[in-house]
Amino acid sequence: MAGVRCDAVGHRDDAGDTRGPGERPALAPRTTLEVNVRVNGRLVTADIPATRTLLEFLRDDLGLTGTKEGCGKGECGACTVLVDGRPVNSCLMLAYQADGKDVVTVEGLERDGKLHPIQEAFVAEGAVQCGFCIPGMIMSAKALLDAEPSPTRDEIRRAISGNLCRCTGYAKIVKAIERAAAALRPTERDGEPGSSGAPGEEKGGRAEADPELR
Amino acid sequence: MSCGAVILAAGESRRMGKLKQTLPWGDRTVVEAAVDAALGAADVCEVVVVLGHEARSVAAALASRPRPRMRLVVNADYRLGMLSSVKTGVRALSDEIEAFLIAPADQPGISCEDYRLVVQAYRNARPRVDVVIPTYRGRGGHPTLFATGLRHEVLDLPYDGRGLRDLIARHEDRVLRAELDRPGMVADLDTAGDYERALEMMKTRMH
Repeated sequence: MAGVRCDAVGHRDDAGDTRGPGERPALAPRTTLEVNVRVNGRLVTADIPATRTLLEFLRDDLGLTGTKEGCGKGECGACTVLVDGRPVNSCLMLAYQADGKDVVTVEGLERDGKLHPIQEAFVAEGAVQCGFCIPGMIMSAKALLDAEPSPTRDEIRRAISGNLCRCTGYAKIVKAIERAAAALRPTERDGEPGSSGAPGEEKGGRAEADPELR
Repeated sequence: MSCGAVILAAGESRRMGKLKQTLPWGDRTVVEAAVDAALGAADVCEVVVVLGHEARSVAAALASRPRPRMRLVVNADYRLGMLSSVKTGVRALSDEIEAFLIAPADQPGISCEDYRLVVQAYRNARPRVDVVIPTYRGRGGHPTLFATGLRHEVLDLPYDGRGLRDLIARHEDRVLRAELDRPGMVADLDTAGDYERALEMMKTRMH
């Protein structure tokens, strides 16, 4: 895929070079990189600053504000999106690293104006209080159910162990994911975006670090 | 190969309350600014302007523009809606173009550079695409580019559907959304308030 140019730093302008002997060369940072990424099934291209996070790209450039910024440092999981089917903290991934990949945000789950069964299950179980963590929870749940249609309760807890909720105590969230799994089992798994399994940057490795999740 | 442009200038400006194509825009009119952006774009070899409502007044505003690079066509059925004007314009394009770009005349904020960026996105796209929609913060804007191969599908679109949106949905796998950070691509002039705000923005940019 046409895309990331790796010479993110370089191109000294000799004509204007006034540095003395032994000084470090002046590095002119290249300001933008071209990124080609599929977002919620749509092919998107943009020239973006090399330092732009995937979260900033989704929210600020593409207006997809369903993905939330909580801590901004990979601890809370509010910014979880799927990259090639794997849940990723989009605040920790640079947007150019998504070049050539398939990104799904919470906006990409509905079909023809109808909520995804996982979203419906969260509503039905009342698994939402302030709601801020829910887009991330739902994306982690989506990754889990795409890979494992019949997860155990422990597997559900592990899958959302990278998503912090300060309101609910998780019980209803876990129940909602169990409900979604039941709803999805008989009919689903037909070619939804994000269900492919190529390796990406994975998160959710906090299971062992967070054993008190109940 | 080069591209064609279709400028849609047939509308009745019902929400504006007066003919918006001939409203002042700097030292020109709104329609002149829209047409000049296409005429000045390096990749655009022909510009078809579709007239309808008050066609004479709009044509008069464009009297000094170069022919035959710019051609005026009249859509007698403009009351059928924008799709009828799209079809009129697309039908009038020559066969020698690689793609055509569609823009409404009520977006005078679109520049030559905007056309260049959209054409560049089309030519650089790998895998190849048939449609390029420029976006600003995720909102689809104009000029929207279609590969010449879609011409007949545009002409065959039914009037009881969603027009070009149906075509885009049908070819979603071959549609590229190019996030270009150019606010003029989404700023149209539907109401008097839109116009006042757009004029303010233009003045701010010029000072």
